[in-house]
Amino acid sequence: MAQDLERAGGGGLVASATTFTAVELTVNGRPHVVQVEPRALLVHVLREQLALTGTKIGCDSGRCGACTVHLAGRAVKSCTLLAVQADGAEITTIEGVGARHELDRLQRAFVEEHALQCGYCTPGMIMSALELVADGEPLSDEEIASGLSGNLCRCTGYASIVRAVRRALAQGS
Amino acid sequence: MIPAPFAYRRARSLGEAFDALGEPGALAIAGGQALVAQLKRRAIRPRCLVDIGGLELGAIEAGEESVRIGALTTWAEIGRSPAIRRGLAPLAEAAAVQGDRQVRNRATIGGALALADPASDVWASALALDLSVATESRSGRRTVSADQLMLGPGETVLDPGELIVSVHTPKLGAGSGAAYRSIRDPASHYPLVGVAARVTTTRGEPCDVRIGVTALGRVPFRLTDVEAAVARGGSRLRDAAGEALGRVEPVPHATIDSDYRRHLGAVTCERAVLAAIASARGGAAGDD
Repeated sequence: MAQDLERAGGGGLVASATTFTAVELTVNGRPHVVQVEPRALLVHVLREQLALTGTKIGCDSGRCGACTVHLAGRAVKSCTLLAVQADGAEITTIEGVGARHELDRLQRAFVEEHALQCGYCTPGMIMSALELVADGEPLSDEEIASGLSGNLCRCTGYASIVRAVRRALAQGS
Repeated sequence: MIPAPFAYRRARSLGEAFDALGEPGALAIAGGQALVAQLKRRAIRPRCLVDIGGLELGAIEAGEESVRIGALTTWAEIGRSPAIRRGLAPLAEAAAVQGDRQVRNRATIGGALALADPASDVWASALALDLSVATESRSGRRTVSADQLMLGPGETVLDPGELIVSVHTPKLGAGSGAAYRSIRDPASHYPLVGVAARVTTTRGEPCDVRIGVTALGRVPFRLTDVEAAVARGGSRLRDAAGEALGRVEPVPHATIDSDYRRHLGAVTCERAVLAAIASARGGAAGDD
């Protein structure tokens, strides 16, 4: 496969189907330039090229939310986003949440409320819930549940997840 | 799942987009929430994707007579907009329930209309609120009303290379109210049926009514018989809706039979119309 890199002047990106193209991503505050095919999905680039395997692939069809990351501060499904669409963007993955040896309060609340069992959905749950609690407004359990409707859990059950989000909200920042 | 190969061009202007879309096999992508899924399933295999997502087409502007919503406005932005929540409740209500948080952060109103998915929430409000789209292409600009836009599933009157740039919705006048109600499939997040109603009242009684139904038919439709009955002050709203929907052949659903979906349609129609009347009268929404 040809490895020609093309970048049109002034930020317009032009890439032929078999061409790798340079995409600039700032992930968890660190700038990266990755060479990708136009069809590469963001989740594959994060996991396979940047070795950020905290972001999971679950259903691979936009339903389960295990691949949720933040793009420009908003929760998005990285399996339903082309890496080229994220060119120039700031991305936060689960690896960028909390500090080393210090969990974010939402992650702590998940531990305290036993809101994870196998843990596969947890990175996506946390990324969605972070956006949900970001402005600190009080939420009913129903609002928490509907706010997380884009994330599926198939073992722990949702009651403890909703409790964890509620606890994090009650604790404030 | 990995899409088949395609070329990619990011448009920095509408002119660049029109040039790129003039090539055979080119397809525009905005938020990509429906399109990337179709690419992954290889249901579509464009030669070139033209990314219009970076164009400045995302503003919401409330004018004297109408509200202009840029085509690239996301459903999350529509749901947060005070102008829409206050003045065009059905669009905000549709924004709150469709897809999920992550999808709403990417999916755009222009994309929803251009994709012509007959099960999209947007169509009920589009018909009830008399929405129209402004388009641009190499050959000029035009306005297309929502009831003219969609020809069939996935099919619109738009030419290849013609892009929706904005969506225009008349503001509700004094004594008017509108609402959107839906019954949803919790697994797919799609509506089993969605109904939007806009009701104008004089002295508290309905005199002008528009009802739009999505997710039941091959194309979204209005319930003109029910509109007339409500405007005449007829009671037995659910019966009238049931009778009108009895003439509709729903697109088959994998697990739910057509009679039950017509029944859900009549119930949802009643809820939407009563909520719109309550809103027109300035009261609380007449929901159960």
